Amino acid sequence: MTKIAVAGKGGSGKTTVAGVLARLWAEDGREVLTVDADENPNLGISLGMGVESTYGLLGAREALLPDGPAIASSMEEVVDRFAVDAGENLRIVQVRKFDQFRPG
Amino acid sequence: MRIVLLGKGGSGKSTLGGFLSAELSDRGERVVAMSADTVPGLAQVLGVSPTDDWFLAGMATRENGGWRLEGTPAEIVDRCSRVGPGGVRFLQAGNADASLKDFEFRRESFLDRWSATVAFNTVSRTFDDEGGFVIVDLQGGTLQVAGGMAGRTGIAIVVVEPFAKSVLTTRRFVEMGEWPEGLRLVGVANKVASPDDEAYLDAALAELGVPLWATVPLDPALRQAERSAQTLISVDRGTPARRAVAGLADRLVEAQRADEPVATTTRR
Repeated sequence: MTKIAVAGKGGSGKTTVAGVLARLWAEDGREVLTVDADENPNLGISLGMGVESTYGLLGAREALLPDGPAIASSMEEVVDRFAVDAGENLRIVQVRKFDQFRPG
Repeated sequence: MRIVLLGKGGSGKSTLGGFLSAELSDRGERVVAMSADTVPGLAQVLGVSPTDDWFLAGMATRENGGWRLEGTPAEIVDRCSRVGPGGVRFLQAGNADASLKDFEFRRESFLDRWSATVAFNTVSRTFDDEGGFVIVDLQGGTLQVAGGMAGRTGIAIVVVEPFAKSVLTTRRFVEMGEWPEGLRLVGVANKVASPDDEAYLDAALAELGVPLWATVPLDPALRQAERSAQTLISVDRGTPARRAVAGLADRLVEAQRADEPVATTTRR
């Protein structure tokens, strides 16, 4: 298994590059799991899922942990429960839903 | 008046925030430009050297499990801020050290977020009493610090580029609900390069119920300045992007004078 992280300044194109790489590898027959760890998650759009499906993705972290610290029995479990199909050989897990207001 | 700049990473919050600060300052308004971002974009636009100091360090000391402010808000602003070559007073709220960025369960990160909100509230209080503008640049795609708007009137400017991702980010801000009472959300279209871009954003913001207060064109002058390591604030005032921001500044001054009642954003 190869893990790839895409980094850069806001607006530089991280999401677009990650989305296109994932699609190309999936089309080559590789099994690809994408993880959107952005506070403002838009990777679904670059994967071609469409705006509504992207908007509707659950945040795995929030769903697992309404109040407590980040504990799950395994990462496999997180992926099993929260990965969504985004095409053949291609899945997406979104880590967070959206950064909410924090009371001052 | 309190102004926060929201938007996706790279949408132009810092650039427009810097220009806006300068415009308001030139109109004789008292202005503090504050960064609540860990990326020192606003400092760079204003030509202030990025600082390792963070606001809390100069503002409060730990006492009995709480925090005690060191001086009046006005004194704190004077002590902790720097004035750039364009004459705009800049203040870093929260730590500019990217290595501390956003590790949720680290104490430093908690203090960082917390202090940015406290800084914002503290500085804003002096402006609520004495007039002027406090302009806050937020971290891309987040609303951290904006919770400090609660109970005060102000304007949240969401900067939107003509891209689906930027529009989706805006939609998240709109539909998240529970905006602090008194905070008005307005849109500024940025990097608009064609009539198509303009029409796309007009329609997208209308659907979201966000009034469009300015349209800022994609401006090669800014790109050129940025590449030649010129501070953006030194870019000629006559360039199209700066003229558009001047229009926005007029509108904000007008809004402040009128003390307009709050218009709630509604979807369609």
